[in-house]
Amino acid sequence: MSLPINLGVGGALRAGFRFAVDNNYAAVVQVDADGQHPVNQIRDLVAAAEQFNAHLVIGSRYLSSDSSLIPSAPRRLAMRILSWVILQATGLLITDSTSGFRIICKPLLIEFAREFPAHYLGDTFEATIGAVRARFSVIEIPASLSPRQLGEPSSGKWKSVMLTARALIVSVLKLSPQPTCFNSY
Amino acid sequence: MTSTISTKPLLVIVPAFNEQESISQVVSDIRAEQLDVLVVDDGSSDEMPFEQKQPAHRY
Repeated sequence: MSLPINLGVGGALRAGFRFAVDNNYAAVVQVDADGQHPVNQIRDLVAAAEQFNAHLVIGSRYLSSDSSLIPSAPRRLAMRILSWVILQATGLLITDSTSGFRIICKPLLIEFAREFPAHYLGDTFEATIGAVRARFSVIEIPASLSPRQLGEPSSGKWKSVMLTARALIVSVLKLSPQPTCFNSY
Repeated sequence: MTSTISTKPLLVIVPAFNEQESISQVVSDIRAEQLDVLVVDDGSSDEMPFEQKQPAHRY
């Protein structure tokens, strides 16, 4: 599938979710195109979703002892802040809210196909908060993450931190007592 | 519910923007797991492999 213009990761995922729903897929797994995600651990995401009846299973590099990628200090700080915000907003501890290695199962998949944040961190951090607050089942499992082998990252270390801070402020301002992104399940 | 996911179709979605150097290997790895894969080319300006460049029609 080729989009005519750049919509960002969230927009690309939403197009993929719509394709999956229209073609009767029960679940989708997100995998980044840079080769960092462990494709051989997709089955672990599926198994966890089945075992715990979870609608969203996130592969966390911070729960894995096998991860060979050590995030920079600013990035680790940003992750801790994001985790704290999610904990305050949902009561759920998510260690790797920006992980793009995750499985989304129906009926959450249908909700994501209908409405999905397209801005920076909307597809990971904000979507996770929305899912939990809409009472979908969200869990984390360990997943190894490798250093990027080819190509260039989309943004540098400090740019990522600045974008994260901006997304954090926007997300906190958008938080409301009742979920507005998704229908309750 | 999700209790029978393994018996239903599972789709792997790979959003890609200017990832011509790595996308072929990623897709190959996913297919080796015998899984369906959908690459969503997010308006890349580089030379993505032709087979990943099918138009999005209704999407």
